[in-house]
Amino acid sequence: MNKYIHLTLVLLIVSGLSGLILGFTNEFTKDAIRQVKLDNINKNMNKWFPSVPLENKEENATADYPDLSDKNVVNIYEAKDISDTLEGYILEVKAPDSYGGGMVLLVGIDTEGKVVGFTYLSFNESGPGANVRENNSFVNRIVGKDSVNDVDTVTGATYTSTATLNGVQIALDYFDKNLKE
Amino acid sequence: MSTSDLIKLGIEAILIQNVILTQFLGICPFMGVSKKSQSAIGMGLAVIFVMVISSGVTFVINDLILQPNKITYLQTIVFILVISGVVQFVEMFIKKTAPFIYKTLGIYLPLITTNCAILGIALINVQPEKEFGYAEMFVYTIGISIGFTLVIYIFSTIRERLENANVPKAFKGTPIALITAGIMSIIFLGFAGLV
Amino acid sequence: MTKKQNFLKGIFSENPVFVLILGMCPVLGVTSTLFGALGMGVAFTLVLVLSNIIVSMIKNFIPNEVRIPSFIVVIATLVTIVQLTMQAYLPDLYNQLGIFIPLIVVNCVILGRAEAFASKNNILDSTIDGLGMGIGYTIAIAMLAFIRELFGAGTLTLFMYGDVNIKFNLIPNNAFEPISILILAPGAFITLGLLLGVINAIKFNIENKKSVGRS
Repeated sequence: MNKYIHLTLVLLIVSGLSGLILGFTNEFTKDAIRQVKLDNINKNMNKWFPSVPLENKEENATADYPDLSDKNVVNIYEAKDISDTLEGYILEVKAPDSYGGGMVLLVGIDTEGKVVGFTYLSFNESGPGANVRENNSFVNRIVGKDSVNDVDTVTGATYTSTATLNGVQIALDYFDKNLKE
Repeated sequence: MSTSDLIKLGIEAILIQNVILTQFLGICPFMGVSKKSQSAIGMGLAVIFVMVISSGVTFVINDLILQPNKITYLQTIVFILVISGVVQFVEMFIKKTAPFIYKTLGIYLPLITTNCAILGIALINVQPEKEFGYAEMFVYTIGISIGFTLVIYIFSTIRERLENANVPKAFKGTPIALITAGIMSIIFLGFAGLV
Repeated sequence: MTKKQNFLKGIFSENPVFVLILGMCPVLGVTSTLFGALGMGVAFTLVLVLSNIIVSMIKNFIPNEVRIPSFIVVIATLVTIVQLTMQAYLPDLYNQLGIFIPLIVVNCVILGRAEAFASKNNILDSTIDGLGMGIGYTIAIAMLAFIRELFGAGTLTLFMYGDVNIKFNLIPNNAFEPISILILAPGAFITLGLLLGVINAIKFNIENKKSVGRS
């Protein structure tokens, strides 16, 4: 019996120490991890809406839109310039039917409902068409459109580019339905 | 999710997101235990059994303990401990209650703790972007483990034939098996537009 | 065994990928870009060296019965530390490696070295063993990624962080279409199969020459 107590004690000490160390690591990296996502959104915000200053958007950017009618729309960030006029929105959308799942896009839409840019937040790298993200002509085909239903897909990466177009279209549909003034 | 969505998810898990051929999880048993179709089936059944139980347990733990307390960074360490516990427990349980099953699956159970498909699927199930509920998790896990069994069985029957094939000496064994797996993977890419 | 032999065995005679065929999941999963493979190699080496050091340090305090669970806890802790740090400071790499970072925990190579080597040897030897194995693993997956990215996409990605993007485009003006199947899932299996075959052929060739020389 004594032996079992000893064994359990050793395991408990090892696990307890590990938990403690991980707690410290988490404390240390927590803010940096949140900052990474914010930085990504801010950078694109500044790139797509040049008049918007580079600053930290609060994480609860969706607070004004509690009713996200489309479950593929994850987050909405407002792009406002220095004088607080609305320039457009950045929508974080999940693209359904992407290869292996898990494709998340950031889509910038101006107040007139045109795509000003998009980028991938997460992406299945081992799937086909991982090179779509580098394909500039594909990006240029989408930017400036208010509907991407008739945009051609990329040869050799049909599946991924179709998923991308679906994601962008979801953002545009959501804009038309809920955000257009 | 409606029933038809769940069926779609199940088919997707078996064929399109096949755990071995497209997600590259569980390669060690795939290469190691596929020389005989008999043992491939044994391994496959053991994986179905353990994967469903351990994914269920880890999902509940994540839902009830890790999420509410905001300690999801402990996922990896908690899950691997739970999985090795589950494997031990399953082994003891079927040894007592079903000696026949133990005879067929017994030798594969210890190998399963380090099968990365088990931990991998447990971690994928709780990824925030998947947004799985209990029903989706259950269907997805069963689909994935059936996909594993299907592929390892097909692969083992091919390998049994390869034994007699006239393969260059340097390519005998693992190299030709990997190339065969690559061709199977091309075939499974074709399922991509299915659902 | 000298220290030099101890270091070199992980790279050549006991290379975890090419000779022992262990820890294959990340070998196939993260080698579609050179950057992913190098990142995985560094993370793997770091975890392996640290786990070898810690295991050889605590081996005398851990009773035999709970040896394996304790080692798993140590490895899982190290992996989570690497994962959180990478998520915070190298997000591009983190996104590329995805699920394969936490899965370092179940990589048979790491637990295997802890059990077979570090739990029986002193700290210095364990460190050298870990370094050798880690570097052998990195070289192997970097080789595979080099071939896959070069022929599959025509590029070589060395580093990605925010706006810093060190990437060589080796097909100027899209002069020809790369063999994109190589960076897809099937390409991983086929390239590794061919690579192993070629290595075997070279090995047999050397052995043949040796035996001819002797007779």
